[in-house]
Amino acid sequence: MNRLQSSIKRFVQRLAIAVLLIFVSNLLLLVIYMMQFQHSVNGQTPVLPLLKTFPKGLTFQHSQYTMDHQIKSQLDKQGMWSMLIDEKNGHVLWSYRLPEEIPTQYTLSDIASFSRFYLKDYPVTTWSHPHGLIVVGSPKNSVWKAAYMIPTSELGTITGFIITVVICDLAIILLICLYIDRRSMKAVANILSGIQSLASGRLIHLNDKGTFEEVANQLNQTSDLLKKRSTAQENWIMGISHDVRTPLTVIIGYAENIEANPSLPVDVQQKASSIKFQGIRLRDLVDDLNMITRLEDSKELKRNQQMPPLVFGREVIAQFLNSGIPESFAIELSFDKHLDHISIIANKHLLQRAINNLLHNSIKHNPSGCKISFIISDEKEHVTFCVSDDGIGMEEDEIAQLNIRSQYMTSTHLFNQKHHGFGLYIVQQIAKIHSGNTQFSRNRLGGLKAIIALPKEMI
Amino acid sequence: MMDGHRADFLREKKIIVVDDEPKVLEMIESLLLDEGFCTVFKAATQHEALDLCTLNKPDFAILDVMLPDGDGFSLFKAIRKSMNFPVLFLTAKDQPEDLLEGLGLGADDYMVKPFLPRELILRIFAILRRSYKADDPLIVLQGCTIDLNKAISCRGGRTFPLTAKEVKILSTLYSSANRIVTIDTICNSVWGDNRYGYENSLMAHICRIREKIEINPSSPSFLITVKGLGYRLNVSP
Repeated sequence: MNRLQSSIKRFVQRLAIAVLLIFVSNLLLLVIYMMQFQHSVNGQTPVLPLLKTFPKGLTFQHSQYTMDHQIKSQLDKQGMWSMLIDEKNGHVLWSYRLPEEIPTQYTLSDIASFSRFYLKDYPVTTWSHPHGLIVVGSPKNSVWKAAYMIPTSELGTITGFIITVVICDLAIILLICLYIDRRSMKAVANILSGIQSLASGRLIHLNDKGTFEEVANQLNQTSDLLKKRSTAQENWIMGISHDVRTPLTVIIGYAENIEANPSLPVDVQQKASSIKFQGIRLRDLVDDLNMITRLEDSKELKRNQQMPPLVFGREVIAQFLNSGIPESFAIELSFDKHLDHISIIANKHLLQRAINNLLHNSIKHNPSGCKISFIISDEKEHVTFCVSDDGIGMEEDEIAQLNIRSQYMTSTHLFNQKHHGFGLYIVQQIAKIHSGNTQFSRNRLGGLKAIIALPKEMI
Repeated sequence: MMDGHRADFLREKKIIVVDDEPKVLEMIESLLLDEGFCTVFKAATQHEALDLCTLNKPDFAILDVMLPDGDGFSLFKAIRKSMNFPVLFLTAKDQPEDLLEGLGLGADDYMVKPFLPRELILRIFAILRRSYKADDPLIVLQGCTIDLNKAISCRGGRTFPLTAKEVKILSTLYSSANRIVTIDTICNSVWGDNRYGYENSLMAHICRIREKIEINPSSPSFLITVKGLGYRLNVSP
């Protein structure tokens, strides 16, 4: 999973946590509200606690009822009224601030009726008293009363019902989150693959319908622009390459002709030799430029073939020697005994070019001659092609630079670095596109040792 | 470079060079004439080349790919309709696709400009040797003559019979005379694709060939071993 997908995942997780928090906080608020339900606002005493104080607060002394001062002040404060009904005959024995429309005689059915609902639209509450029934009435429309009747057998299922509701709610939240997550992922998958392809240098054409239509369009345009630039660059290099090759043919051809003509003075022959040498350098430069362009083309990898490393190595060295090298140079091939059962999968043309570049490098940097060893070895997971010479070699810091430069062409410090043309860079790139690697070092003779390691296949 | 008898025979072959660049045409012509080829025709266009081919029946052609009135590949196809001489493409087009197309059509070789004149000459001789060996099957070495058709070598007044395998090995080496031929190429040529394990047999055959062609087989001067790589048949002392 890439970084953008992770961030979307995180976003959805946070969303789920947020929804869960809201749910939990709502539950908490509900519980707090229920706990405070019995408390009236602004410090008013709730009806029930007040009622409970009546048995002791309303006493019969000296043939009359006396109400506690505190009860009285609470009733006044809340605009309530109160009465005491004789439980034997239904007469009102005592009352306080009793509204006029409230009767003073009650039957059992009257009491049963108002105790559950209203008395003349007054919400009333009742409590027992040693002398009868205490009724406290609140102002009209101040309290809403409802009577619930739940079968006892159902009471036990309420907890289960609440838990089920909570689980269902959580499941719905989870499903919503998953849906958002899946939808978001699907919508960005197209965009993500496009961005990844562009980042790795591949051209794209995304489906530009859907949520991210605008982004897909922009990415397609970017890809088209990159393709145009790349084509223009390739055409330019190919054009230059072609135009340079024809005059170079004439230069190198005549230079070699003069160089090999014994009837001409020696200094003329030497000058011709120098012209030919410089011509060949220009030719190699053009070849390198073309090769770098070609390495960026994925078509090259489609030409991969399975080949035995020893057969390939022999062919490369034979062709190199057949093309003619100065007598001051010698190339020696050596190889491990058990290479017969191993093969490599590679583009033969490119790999040959990489090895030729290493051989040319040894020749170019050792003009007075050297001995070059070409060793093919069977390593643990790789086949290695090692080109090692006994020439002047390289300084340690130059070798270190060679080993770390992977983005030579795009380096912003290219001209601050001492570099060795494109030859070794091409070697590194060829190894890289074959899932292999290169290693440069000084050998024990002080010369340069270059190793190309490629994944091996067992036959 | 080449042994006298053989070289004269090959140098009598008529060569046509097709290139739209006059300076390149001139240079190649001078190179071929200097090398001893007697008859060299030059053409700058496809049309001109076809006329020259019809009129002079050349034995070998060097074709550029990019021509003003077409390309070298279509010229090659047009030539092949009525003639069957060997062809080498010599072009500035260096893309693998071009090389594969050229060789795929049946060309004998493909070289990219700029080239080393020496290399061009060697390749021309190699192609001519392969293409016209039936005309003159003799390999003439210093003090030894090999007749591949009769499967014999003559040295010091003695005639040595050559086995079929020895003829095949010598034929393979001779088609790339003066160049290293790898062990794998020789084994492939003699024993086919199933060549593994024949290296020791090849060494034994090489030893026997040396006894039949070398003045001093223990210090060979014609059939040279290139350690680890293969063998080279030197046809010039």
